[in-house]
Amino acid sequence: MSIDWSAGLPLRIGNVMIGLTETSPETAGYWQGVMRHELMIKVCMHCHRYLYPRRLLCPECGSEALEWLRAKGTGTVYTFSTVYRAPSDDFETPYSNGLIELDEGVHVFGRLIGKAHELISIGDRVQVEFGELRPSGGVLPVYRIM
Amino acid sequence: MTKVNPLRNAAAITAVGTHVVSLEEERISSLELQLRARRAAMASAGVTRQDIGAVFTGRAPMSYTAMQWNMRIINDLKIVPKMSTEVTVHGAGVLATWQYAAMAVTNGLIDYALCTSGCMGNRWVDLVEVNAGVEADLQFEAPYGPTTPSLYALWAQRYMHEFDVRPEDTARVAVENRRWALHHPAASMRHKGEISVGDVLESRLIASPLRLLDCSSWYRGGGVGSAVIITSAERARQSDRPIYLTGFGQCTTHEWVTERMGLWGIEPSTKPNLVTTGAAIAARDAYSSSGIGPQDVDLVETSAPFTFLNMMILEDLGFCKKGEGKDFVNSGGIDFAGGLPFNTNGGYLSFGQAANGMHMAIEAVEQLRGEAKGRQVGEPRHGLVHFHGGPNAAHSVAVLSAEGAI
Repeated sequence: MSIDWSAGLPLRIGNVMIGLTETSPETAGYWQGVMRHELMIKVCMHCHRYLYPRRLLCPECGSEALEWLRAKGTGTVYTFSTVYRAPSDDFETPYSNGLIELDEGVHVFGRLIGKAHELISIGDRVQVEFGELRPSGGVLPVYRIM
Repeated sequence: MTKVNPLRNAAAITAVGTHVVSLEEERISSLELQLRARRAAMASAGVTRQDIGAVFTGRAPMSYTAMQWNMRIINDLKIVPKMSTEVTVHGAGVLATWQYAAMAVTNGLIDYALCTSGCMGNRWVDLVEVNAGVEADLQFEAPYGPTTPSLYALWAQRYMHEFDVRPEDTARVAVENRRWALHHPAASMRHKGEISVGDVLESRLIASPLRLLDCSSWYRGGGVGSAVIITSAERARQSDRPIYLTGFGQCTTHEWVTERMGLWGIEPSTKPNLVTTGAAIAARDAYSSSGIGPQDVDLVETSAPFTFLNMMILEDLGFCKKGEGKDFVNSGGIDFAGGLPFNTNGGYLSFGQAANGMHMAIEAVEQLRGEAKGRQVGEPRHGLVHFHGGPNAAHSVAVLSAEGAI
């Protein structure tokens, strides 16, 4: 299972539903890709720039003609941090998150796996995998250091 | 001929109000905290609720969630402002309230503006858990379990990698901030005494490369409420020791750290990177609008919440070149003894982070007025204040001047 965020999640104060977290039909294709174990980014059909999955229009040329493209799933660690103090007890420490520069040039955030935390370095090459991450309860892209 | 910025010294702070809740005291709501600070400021300025034409606030406190926080403030005070808003460029918004207030009084739209901030969050909720949800992209970052320090650590890791900065270099920021805190009666970490570079390096890891003593502490007692009254320079001249608002700059680059890496073709991110900040742009504008430069600055207060970020900000505020922050700090640049007076109440690291931090700006006002008992920095003429918020996302800079300096 993957959580589809694109319809928004109910935001509650006590028993009162006060709205939805950001509804984002524009990211549905990303989460559908996660279900298929494919990492999706967007591409501008006008200026051919690769774009972050959230984009609604191309900031470079203003075109609304964006399409989904399956990324190769390989990239390089731009930066990272190993978390020793988690936001809640649901997360088992330590774990490492980083920003990955995909080979298409788009940067994504994700979990780094496959190497001892203290040995992870900027510049490490990674390959995307799909795994269920506690406690999110859903499948997410994770990045294995090669 | 250069056109003089019409805002330069056209408005001034005539009164400040602070309300501190210490660890020993019973907790109150964030609303009450701000209202008490407001009362002190208005009493000091000698203005009534009928005189206030504008109310500007920082974002809503984390323990008193309300859309449109400024409405809660006027609701309780029974003020009828002609302009009012919550300024929500994260923590940078609190200092930005002073800029909007200056614009309003300078244009003659109103006579007096009230700006307020303050949060008791630390005494009501687990801010580590709450803050992670505020600081991260809920869809693309939060599921991986980032914390606020771990998002800033992404900047730290890259900055230290590119400029060969070692943990012992950044640790010195914590050591010198602590020295200042020992002289402020309300500083969170005062009771802990001095710390050494070794203490910082031996403190436990929070999010590599950041250790406990690299991180700011939430204000220990719970809350510092702050408020100021701003009016035109003309009116301010009738008050005791007004502090003039000399120049301003703001720059906001992103909402989430991953999106900062998706920013290109515009300063300070002509190419995606995590080593430049909007502080450089905000400072450039603050200097040009004020007509002063870094060499004229007598003290600096910043809301930078981590050691490495203080170093980056010193670079971006123009006290040294990019990448030379470690040399500046290591050569005594911000030493309590003899360096540039920097975070003279202990800063976020040792005074503590209280809400989105107007107390750091009020520290500059107190210094410029000669009221900083026990830690007074001679007779300063110009103070530089830098506020920031989001994961290094929004920056605001103000130049403040003492009466004799304009």
